[in-house]
Amino acid sequence: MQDKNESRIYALVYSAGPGALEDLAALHAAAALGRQAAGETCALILCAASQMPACTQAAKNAGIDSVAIAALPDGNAPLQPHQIAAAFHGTFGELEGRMQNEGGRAARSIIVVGAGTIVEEAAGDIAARLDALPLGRPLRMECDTEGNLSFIRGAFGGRLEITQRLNAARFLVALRHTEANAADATNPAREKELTALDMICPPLPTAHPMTAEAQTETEVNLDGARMVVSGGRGMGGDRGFELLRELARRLDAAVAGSLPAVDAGWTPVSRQVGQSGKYVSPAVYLAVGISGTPQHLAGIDPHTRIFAINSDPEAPIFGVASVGVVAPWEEFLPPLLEALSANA
Amino acid sequence: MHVLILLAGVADPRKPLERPSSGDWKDILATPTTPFKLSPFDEAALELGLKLRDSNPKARLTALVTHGARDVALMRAVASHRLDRVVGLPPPPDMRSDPQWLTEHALGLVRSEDLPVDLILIGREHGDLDDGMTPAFLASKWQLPFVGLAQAVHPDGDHAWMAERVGKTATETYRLARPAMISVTNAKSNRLRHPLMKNVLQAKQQKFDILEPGHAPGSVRADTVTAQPPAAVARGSGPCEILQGSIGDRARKLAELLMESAKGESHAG
Repeated sequence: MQDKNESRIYALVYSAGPGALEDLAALHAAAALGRQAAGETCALILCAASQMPACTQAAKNAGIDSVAIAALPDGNAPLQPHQIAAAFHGTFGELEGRMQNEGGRAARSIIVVGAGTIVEEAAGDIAARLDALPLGRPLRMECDTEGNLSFIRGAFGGRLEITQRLNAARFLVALRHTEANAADATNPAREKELTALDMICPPLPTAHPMTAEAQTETEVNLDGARMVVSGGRGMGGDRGFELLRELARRLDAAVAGSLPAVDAGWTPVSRQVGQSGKYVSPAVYLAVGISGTPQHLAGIDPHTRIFAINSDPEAPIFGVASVGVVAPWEEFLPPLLEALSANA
Repeated sequence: MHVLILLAGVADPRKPLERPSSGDWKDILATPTTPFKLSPFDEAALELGLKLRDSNPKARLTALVTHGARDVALMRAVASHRLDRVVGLPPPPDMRSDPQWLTEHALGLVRSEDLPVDLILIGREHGDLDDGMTPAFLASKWQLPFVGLAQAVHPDGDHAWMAERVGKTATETYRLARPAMISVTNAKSNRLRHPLMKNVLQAKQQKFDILEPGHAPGSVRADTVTAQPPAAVARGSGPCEILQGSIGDRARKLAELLMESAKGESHAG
């Protein structure tokens, strides 16, 4: 079979539940890359047998060309990351072989996983098992007229963007859900005839013994929150975060923090926003005592409106905020809470 | 017990990145312009190693410093915690973003027959060019059981480790057979302690082994062709509106804006 100077894009999806936004991210992103690089797209989906029709439909809706589904053995979910990696490793080789037999050998395989999902935790393992170069969470891809691919990535804590030209035959990227990708995927003109392939999930390695102690968290979940109230180093201690939690309760918002706030123990790591933490896309992000480093801003969607409260009028956060208040939080938060009560 | 701590310096986040003298930002990979520091994640990994030694004084700690290994101040900062060995393994500039190079060249230390490694601790991100995929990649290549984003590690008898992490809805404790690899995230409980002054002074006299194996021709899987600071992200429709007036006036105005946003979203949703 003759080699073709093109890419084949594989979306790896471990479906934790029907229609979960994070599951769709890989499908939509792979479809978008396929359009950009004029490459064939294929989804490799691991899910419960009962979810197979819904997952197939999701791949079709996303504009994927082929879908290969392996049903997970009953009673195994939720899988641990190394089990997910083993399942994809055990099915990917066969899938790639079938794709090559039917469509020819592609110059490159781009493997896409959804960013921010359990699959991203397994991504390094998957890349190692598949001898793929792990490229992290690139910002965007460029494809020249000869089909050469480059990825633009954030580096140095978001302080630089580097463009990497790829020589690898296989590489793996984690991509976020974007409204643009989702909108393109729902365009009926892009709907294609779907090829469906049945795969068999290989035997999975044993799970690491694990005990879990449930958290009694009553706050709004940060994932998908429509408003976020976030504190940084400038909060100075736990007391400020108590006020932020009260503020969040009144606004039905989620509480978050910057890396220094997590470092100090004022908020848990599961609520860290930034280059190394969560990526959030609320309508409004209220940043209190946050200076606005590139590392922190890298975790906030560009479409989000930032409201900032900071005692330093020169703080970089005011350079990106829509609305700003120059005041110490200790003086400003109590009257803000009163005003919210009065407006309620 | 032998614990290997894999550390990668990052360009000091408290200082602005300096443009290379060539004017080309890409050259920062080969000729760093900003002093290296340990990231909060690497500091946490180092602290967990020190805690293990606190509970078992016979524990042997080896630090393998990759990125920034030629920065003597960074090496001394690591050594000031009185580790048994501090070794440098700086990746060639064009391999800084590919963990495969590290997989191959750190293997000798990981598989040392003289003193087998029982545990590898690594920060959740490894250096300035990693988004967090490197730890699981290395563990997989080295065929070690792995858990990511741990905040605490304890021995479980002589044959296993217990790694604690905060999951989405629960605090999870995993049991991993030895030898194992664990990536570490920052938390209040694992903030790096200050070294003793006598150890800081001792580290200033220390010489460090720097391993420089290079790489095979043609093995570069990704060429960095350009680098530049990101363009300012356009947010909103214009410059920031700084609210004016008394504290009370500004609080009422901001409360109105927040309530409007909250209502707008609830109508939309």
